[in-house]
Amino acid sequence: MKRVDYFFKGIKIDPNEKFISNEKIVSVNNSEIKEEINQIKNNLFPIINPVKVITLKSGEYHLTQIIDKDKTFKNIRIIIKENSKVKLYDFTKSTYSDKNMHFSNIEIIIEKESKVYYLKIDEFKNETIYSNTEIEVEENAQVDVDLIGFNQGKTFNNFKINLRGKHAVGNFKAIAIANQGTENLYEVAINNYAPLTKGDIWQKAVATNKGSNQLFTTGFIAPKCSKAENYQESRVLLLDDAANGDVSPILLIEHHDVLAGHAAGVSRVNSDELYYLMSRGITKHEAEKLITLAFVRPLIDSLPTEELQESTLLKVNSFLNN
Amino acid sequence: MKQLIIKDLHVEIEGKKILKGVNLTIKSGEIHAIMGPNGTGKSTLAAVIMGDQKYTVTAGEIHLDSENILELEVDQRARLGLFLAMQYPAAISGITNSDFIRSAISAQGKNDESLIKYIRRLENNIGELKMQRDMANRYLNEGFSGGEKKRNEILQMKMLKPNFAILDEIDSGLDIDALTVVGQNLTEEISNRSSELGLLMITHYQRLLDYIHPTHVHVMLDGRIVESGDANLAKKLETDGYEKLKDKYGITEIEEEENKRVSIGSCATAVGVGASNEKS
Repeated sequence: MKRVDYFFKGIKIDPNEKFISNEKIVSVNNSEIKEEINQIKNNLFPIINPVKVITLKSGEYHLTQIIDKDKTFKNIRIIIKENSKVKLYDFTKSTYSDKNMHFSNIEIIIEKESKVYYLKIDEFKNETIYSNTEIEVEENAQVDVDLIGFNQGKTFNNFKINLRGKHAVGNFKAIAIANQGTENLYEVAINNYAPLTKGDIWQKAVATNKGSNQLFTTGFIAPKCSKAENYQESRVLLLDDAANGDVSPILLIEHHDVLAGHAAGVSRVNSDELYYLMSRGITKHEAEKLITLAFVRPLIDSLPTEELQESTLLKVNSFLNN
Repeated sequence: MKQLIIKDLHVEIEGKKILKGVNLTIKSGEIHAIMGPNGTGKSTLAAVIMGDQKYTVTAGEIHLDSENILELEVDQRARLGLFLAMQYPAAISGITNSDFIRSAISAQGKNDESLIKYIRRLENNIGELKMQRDMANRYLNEGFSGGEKKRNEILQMKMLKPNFAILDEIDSGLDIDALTVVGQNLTEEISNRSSELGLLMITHYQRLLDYIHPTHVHVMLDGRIVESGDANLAKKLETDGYEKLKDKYGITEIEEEENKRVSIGSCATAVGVGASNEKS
């Protein structure tokens, strides 16, 4: 008899979560937002064709783009050749804010045996941004994604990693900071379409000052994908009562011989931690800042260069002070 | 010279009376020890002096010199020179010990020291406490053993140089060697800063007092200080136990303090900010 090997670890219950109930999260916001996304998708997809195809071999590449007036941006397909080691830095900034909707569509195809590091830092000021990223990972290939969001408007971030070949690995890490005016929506999915594939999602979002972060995370394991693994952890930290955050962790598993797990939580700053820091003379505001930085630190510390680590840390700081 | 004055302090938690009129005055240069069996309110007294919001003060006053500190927030009290070495300090992943202590020093307005001087002083103190060298760069109390946490509290005390330090069961969970190290460090701190530092130690056992000789010893029973004396009182307690005193003051049964924490489950991948599973 076959052993049923997958397991759900369930949503963590935190004593500080009391003020935000799960029912509220699911019933109110979920459907409205989903509908909104669907509308946007329907409007967008007919016009998306890969307008630019780039083929890359081993090396470091920058994809810096600036959103100017009246210019929608990025509609790119990137193909990473077999056996390559690629570092791809993607910095997108908007220089001004308007009421138009802008969209970005990036498709990355990672061929066999390649290893890709993809860092995407978004700084959107615009009212509405729709950003769609899809990564296809072939046999024995690996992608490590770091996504950092400092957005000031409404952002729909749709991020999908498809693990197509055996032993394909996808690691996705993201941090997002929401301040006044920010509405971040992250729809992240890792799909295991082959046996022995491994996916991992790690997301931390901070909301302050009426900002909002919503994380919809999906792990999907297709039928016949033996020994596939899919994990996810999503957490939202709310710094004040006006901040808003939802987490919706989903695992869809269609095979029995797999490993999967999810953890999720929306919480405020832990009062014991706050008390401890304050008992050494640190003000409440400063203590919250320290705890917030600690919350997003694992991603920042893993960034490839010290300059990037420092500049990201500074940006988190200034974004929280705004 | 500074004074910490506690007058007729009554404290409850969730409607349950814990302190029932505590009077105590500590002056700079004095070393006080409060002893007593479990559940008599010793740790509550320490937490209330520091300003833990979990407790409600129903009557009484606490003054630091002329200032009524009950009206102040925790961080304001700390900046006036109060320090509590906690029994169960929180662990915070992502903040290094070194960053934390430097933030605390600068919050207390003592940041005239250069970074290099600070690091040298921190490393010296870590050495004196016989802590592991990487202690400065490890995350705050994260994965520390019981003994390491206690030493880390003393490290902070040495770095911050408070006017009044309260040590809440600093001896519990320490083996004999660690206790000797902590004892030596405290003795040195006391002799270096004799006239500036007032100390309040909370303990079950006499053994800590072998290292640090108190000027005043108090016995706490059922939310009150029932007896005060000099170091001899502690020795007498060690031989007699608390039973005689309980009989003398007509206390038959002491309720256990209900601050035990219960785990409500752990999560799949890691522990986030919202969770602290360090308490037991």
